[in-house]
Amino acid sequence: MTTPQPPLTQGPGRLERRKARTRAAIVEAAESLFHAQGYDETSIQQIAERADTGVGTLYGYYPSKEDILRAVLRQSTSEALAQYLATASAGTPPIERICGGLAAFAEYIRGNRRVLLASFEMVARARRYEEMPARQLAVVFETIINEGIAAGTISPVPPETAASLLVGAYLQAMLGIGVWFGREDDPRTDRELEALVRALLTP
Amino acid sequence: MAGPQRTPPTGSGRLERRKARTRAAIVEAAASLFHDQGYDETSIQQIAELADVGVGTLYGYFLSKEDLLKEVLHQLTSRAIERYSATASTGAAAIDRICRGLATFAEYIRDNRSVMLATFQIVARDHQIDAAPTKQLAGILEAIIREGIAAGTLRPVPPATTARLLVGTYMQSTLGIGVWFDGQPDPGIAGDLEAIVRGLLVA
Repeated sequence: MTTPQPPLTQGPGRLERRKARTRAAIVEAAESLFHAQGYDETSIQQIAERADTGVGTLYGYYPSKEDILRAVLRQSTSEALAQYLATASAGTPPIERICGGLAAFAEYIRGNRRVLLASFEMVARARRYEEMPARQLAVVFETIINEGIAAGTISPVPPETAASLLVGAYLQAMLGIGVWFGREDDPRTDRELEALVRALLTP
Repeated sequence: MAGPQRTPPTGSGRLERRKARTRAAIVEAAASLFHDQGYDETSIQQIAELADVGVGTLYGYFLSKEDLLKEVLHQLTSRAIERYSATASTGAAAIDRICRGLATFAEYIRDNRSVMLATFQIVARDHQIDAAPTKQLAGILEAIIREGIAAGTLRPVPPATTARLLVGTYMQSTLGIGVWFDGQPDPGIAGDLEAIVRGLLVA
């Protein structure tokens, strides 16, 4: 559309910013609607209307509703993760940083349960498990566990497997998947899981 | 019909037996096809053909493919629990019975991968489908954990939550899904998990 030109102070910069704003508006609109009424119940038309854009325009940014779901999750997980990393200072003992991280993770899951369950179903159907939000957190925990082992404050568990175990367990438990069905809102679940985490990691 | 009798006329007994045989043939056909070619790839028509019944007849026994999947899962689980119970001697130490139970569970999951993965497609939508079989196993592990704690050989962990943690973890890690997804099956994980379980539970 635009002919190649040397960069100007306006023009392409403004276009990029407008595109970013539209994209953000779509993701924000979708997130509100998914939360309020559910993923299946939300239509592209509703998202476009709430984002104050046309359906055609929306499809230009996101080819499918599933792509929008992915974008919503990517944003909320990176926000939550950034928040957790900001609060977990290097002075805090490794075990506390993990327990704190898991508590924050539990809160995040509960706050985004509808969207996460919709994503879980989508991911399971497409077998695209690499998209699950838990993996980034597992990597962070693996690093903390290694630090703790080196400092002698965490038991020498296999770091990668232990991190995956912790994150995977919380994800299933807080979503109420499988064996955890019906347990996801039981405060005993949180307490007992924390006790297990400490039992697992304390030397 | 004849006058008062204590035993039912042979006609209805034979009908019941034939119905039971047809039902069993349908379930066996479904299990076989799900296992060999996958759940998605299997059609009701194929199942009916392999079971040597008409599609209409099949629908008289099962409402849907998903309904059949639940029954297949139920039977596979019963068989696995039988196998485990046959090998688990009550004389062995609690921790060893737990590790053997989990290893048997992992084998059962590997042997029935297609069915297990298929249930995950549905579990986010309909939690109950995964709940029943794994809940049985969690119940068995919970009982062993309580025995071990009473005998002083296991740490006083919360039995039900611990059992759920173990079952859920082994399910997902063996299938390599969720946070455990890595593209390649990792044989090291089984050893890591057993080490973690022993470290967690042994007093």
